[in-house]
Amino acid sequence: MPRHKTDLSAESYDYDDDYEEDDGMTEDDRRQMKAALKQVRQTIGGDIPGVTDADIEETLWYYYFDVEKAVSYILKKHTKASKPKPAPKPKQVVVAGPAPKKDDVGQGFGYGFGARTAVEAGYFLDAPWGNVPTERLGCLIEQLPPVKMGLVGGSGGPKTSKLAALAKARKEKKLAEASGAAEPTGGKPLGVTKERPSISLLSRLSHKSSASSVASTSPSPTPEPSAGRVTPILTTNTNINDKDKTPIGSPKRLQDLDQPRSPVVEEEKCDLKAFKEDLALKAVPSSFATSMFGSRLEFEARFLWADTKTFDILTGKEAAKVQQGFSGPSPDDVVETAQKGMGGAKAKADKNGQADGKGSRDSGAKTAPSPPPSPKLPKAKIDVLKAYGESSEKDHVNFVVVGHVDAGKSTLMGRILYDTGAVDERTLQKFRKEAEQIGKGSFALAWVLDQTHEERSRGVTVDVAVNKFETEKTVFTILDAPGHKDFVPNMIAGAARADFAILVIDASTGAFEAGFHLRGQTKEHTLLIRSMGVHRVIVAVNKLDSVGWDGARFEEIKQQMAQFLSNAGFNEKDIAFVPCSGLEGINVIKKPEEGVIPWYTGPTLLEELDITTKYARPVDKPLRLTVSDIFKGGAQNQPTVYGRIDSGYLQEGDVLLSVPNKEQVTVKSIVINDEPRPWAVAGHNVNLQISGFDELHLRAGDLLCHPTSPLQPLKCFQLKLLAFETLTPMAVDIHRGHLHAPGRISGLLQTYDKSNGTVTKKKPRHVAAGNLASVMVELVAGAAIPVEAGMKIVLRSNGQTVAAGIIEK
Amino acid sequence: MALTDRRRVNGPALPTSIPFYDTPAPAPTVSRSPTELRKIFLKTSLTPPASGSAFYELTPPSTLKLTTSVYGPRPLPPSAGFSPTARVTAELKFAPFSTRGERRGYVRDGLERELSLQLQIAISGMVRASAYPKSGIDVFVTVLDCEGRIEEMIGVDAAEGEGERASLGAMQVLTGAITCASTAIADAGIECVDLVAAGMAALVEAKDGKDMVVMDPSPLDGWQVRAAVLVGYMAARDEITLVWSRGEVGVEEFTGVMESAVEVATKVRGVVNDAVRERLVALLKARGKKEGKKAITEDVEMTG
Repeated sequence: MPRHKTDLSAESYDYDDDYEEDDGMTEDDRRQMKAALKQVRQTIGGDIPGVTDADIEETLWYYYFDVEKAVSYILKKHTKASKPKPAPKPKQVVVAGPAPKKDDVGQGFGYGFGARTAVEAGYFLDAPWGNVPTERLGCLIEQLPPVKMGLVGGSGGPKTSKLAALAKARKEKKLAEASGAAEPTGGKPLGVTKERPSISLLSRLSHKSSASSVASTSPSPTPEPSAGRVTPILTTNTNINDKDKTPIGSPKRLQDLDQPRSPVVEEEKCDLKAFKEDLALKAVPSSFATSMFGSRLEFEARFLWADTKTFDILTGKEAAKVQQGFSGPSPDDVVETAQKGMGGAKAKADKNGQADGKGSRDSGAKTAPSPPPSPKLPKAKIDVLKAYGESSEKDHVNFVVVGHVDAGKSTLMGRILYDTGAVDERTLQKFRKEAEQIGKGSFALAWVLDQTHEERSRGVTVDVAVNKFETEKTVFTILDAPGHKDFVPNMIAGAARADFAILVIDASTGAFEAGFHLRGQTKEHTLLIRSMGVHRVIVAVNKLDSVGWDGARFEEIKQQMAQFLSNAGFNEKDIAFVPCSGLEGINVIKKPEEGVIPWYTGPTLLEELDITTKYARPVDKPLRLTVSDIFKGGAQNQPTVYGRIDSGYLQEGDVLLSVPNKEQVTVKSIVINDEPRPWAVAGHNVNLQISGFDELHLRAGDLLCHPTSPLQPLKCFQLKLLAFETLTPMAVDIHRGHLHAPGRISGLLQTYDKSNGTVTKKKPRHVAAGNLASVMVELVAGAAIPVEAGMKIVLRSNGQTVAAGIIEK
Repeated sequence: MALTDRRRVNGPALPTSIPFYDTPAPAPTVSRSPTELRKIFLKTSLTPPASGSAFYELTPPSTLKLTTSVYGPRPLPPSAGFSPTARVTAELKFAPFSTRGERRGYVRDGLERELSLQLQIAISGMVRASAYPKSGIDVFVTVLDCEGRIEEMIGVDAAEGEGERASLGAMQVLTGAITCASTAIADAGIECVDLVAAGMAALVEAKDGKDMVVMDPSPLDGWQVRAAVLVGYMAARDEITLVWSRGEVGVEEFTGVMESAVEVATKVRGVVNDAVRERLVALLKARGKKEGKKAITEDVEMTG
């Protein structure tokens, strides 16, 4: 990085400076040193042994080339042979006080910094750590109270600064005058101001630098420096207290000052009364201060918030007690030891593990994949059965709408939704406009349920559309099944969730026949819903407006259908026929106008729907929830599964088991028809917000149950079925709700008589259409499917429903 | 109101009119003798949240008032780096209303910086910094009211007249600040080697044209000040922690002025001692009551 020019110059200057400081000598100094050394050598001659050049040089440097002083020092030192060779100057570390601002005070105030750098660089280089020879150890000299004398030079010849010299001269002059101690009362003219003959402040200021010299030259006993510690002076000095009384410059004051004080100033018992009397300067608070302090002007116990800051000096027993507290290991030590111990144990275990290899790996495998903690919902469990029994909510009823393609199922349902107010006028207007634009004006109502683009452009329902509406007594869920033969599996899925069915029949000329004969879906659907366990069916004879509300046409259809339905196994009382027109909305919700249907006096379609017996729900059976849809969770919402509870019940916080993948999921919340509920029972179509599941492992057709009563998925089961087509051992598709899996009929066990159920033939070669039989069904692709005894299954083959039945075992 | 600055002491919300007196201010007269010191009111524990605090004021007609709060010893922030001893910092601040006639800005100016530095030098010598490694001791002095006019306070280089007198005001603020800060540090229970008290003396030109030394000069006294010296003085150790001089003075004269300043500081020290002791005595009395006078009879060393 290129440096700034000024930086460079500044730095180079610094280097020069540093160099000279480190060396300690300038070129000039060296020259002087050489000359001085020569001189000294000449003076002392050869009569003193053991004086090295280095010694002389050091001495010279110390006295700064004062040859005379150096010689006297060397002679003095080396003639006293008994004494060990002392260093030219005792190494001292003077406890540094704050230096005054040099610029303000001036150089003469002499906090000589040079004297403090006691140890040269490298002095301890060859000394081992912690074992420094005693002669090399410095000693910490305590800060001595100043001795009030003039500057003390290093030896005989005084070498003082100009300022100090002036001060000294002044002092001497004053001593000579020996004037009286009378203090001036008025202003002090300069020069007579100070009666104190003793010291100038200049010398006092310099006491720090000369402290060591004072120690050696002071006539009075010096304090022991061996302790090497500085005791803080915390006590009141008598002198200060007395100052106000004692005139400055009085002999007492002088005496005090001249006596070298012990660094620990003599401790004085605090005589508060005596002190207070001396407080000449103490003032009473002003009104401002009074208002500032308020009631705190006098200290009271409650204002002494800093109570904790006083410390007792512990004596005897107490001190011992405190000491005891530190005899044991500290809490940190305890923790550390414990950790060490644990580490050791771990190491040991590892060792053992290596010894027998396998054991260690086993334990590792056990501990490593800890099961993810399932979220706990601390909600209290509800007795769902009791709550269900007590609940006064409307009955929830699902019905499926089936019928041949283009029978008008979606339009009829659209009409119901529109007329009950579940769909608003505006939406329908929009649909009308859009439908007319693509030339399908009559489909507007159907579009309420057919919402995908494909369904609208093709004009057929593809998937089961779910919607709901309410009457006074009941909440109905519409399952609008597709009529097209290509989407029969979807229709099966829808029918699986239904309590009853509306069979929509197109009454227009030829349409009924097309649906009813020649493999029309009217027949197939009827058989399917029957085999899916639907007992009640309402036959809505639609599009009667196209035949001019012909009563004879209605009767004809009614006769044929009634016969067919009773053949399929429906009870006569569970069958109802309603003439209506979905497109015009006649006899759907509204009663037809007088004279439109003179031959019909029965209820409307909606009234017929409302005449529903309360369906017995298998609430007390183990929970079985068939998943029909899964919505993956986003960043904000939980993943949701949609499905119908076939049996049993569940509540928020339940942990459920998915079959066949055996994943555990937790129910976060339950939503039924867009309303959150704390619980749900059989018959409800529910949205479950769940957590703790992997989307890959759950899909439509799976089944949720309680882990306490799990469903065992089957690979091979015995099925009692009603054959729609001739059955031989053949490949079939197994359908149950949304679940479908490839399988095959592996064996035909026996056929039954339809009327009384007796076995007619064992191990038949084939099962003729319309016969009851028991067959073995196997799954082709390995995985088992979540079915159990009592479930209804549909078998399809080559796009046709060939049989439907109940799993026996 | 959402924009109100709550961090500072704000001025009045509504405009106020400046009082205008048509009678001219009386010319400053010397009412004190040159050796007479003004009385000081000094009291600790004004600011509850601080570790230690003190309030200092001079008796009227002097108006100097200041408070000090001491925080610490507290851990140094990581940004401060390692320090084997306590770091003593000092900050002196003039309240916006502290000066007569004109409000002061909030921003720290050169004078405040300089006084803060001097204060720090003066007080850092009394603290036993080695007892608190890795700690900071922060001293905050707020000047509530001062003497002299602010715009002239900085005019230190002026040889005579207003400028010099005004600089006297700044020095007087520092004198009070050192004394007050030292008291507050003791109040905070921080170990000290001694307490610093500050004193000031000035060399003035008397009427007869001779120079004389005035102890504790006030800018309101109307002296023709030639030079002024301020010392921070630790009386028990007989050590000077700070010398600050202004004006031109010879060496001999300087010594005399400084001697006087030390004398002032020594006298002020009596007030400092009493202020520090006051709370301690109350504390011990309270404890004595609680513990049956046990505490007071025990060997408890009094600081002072």
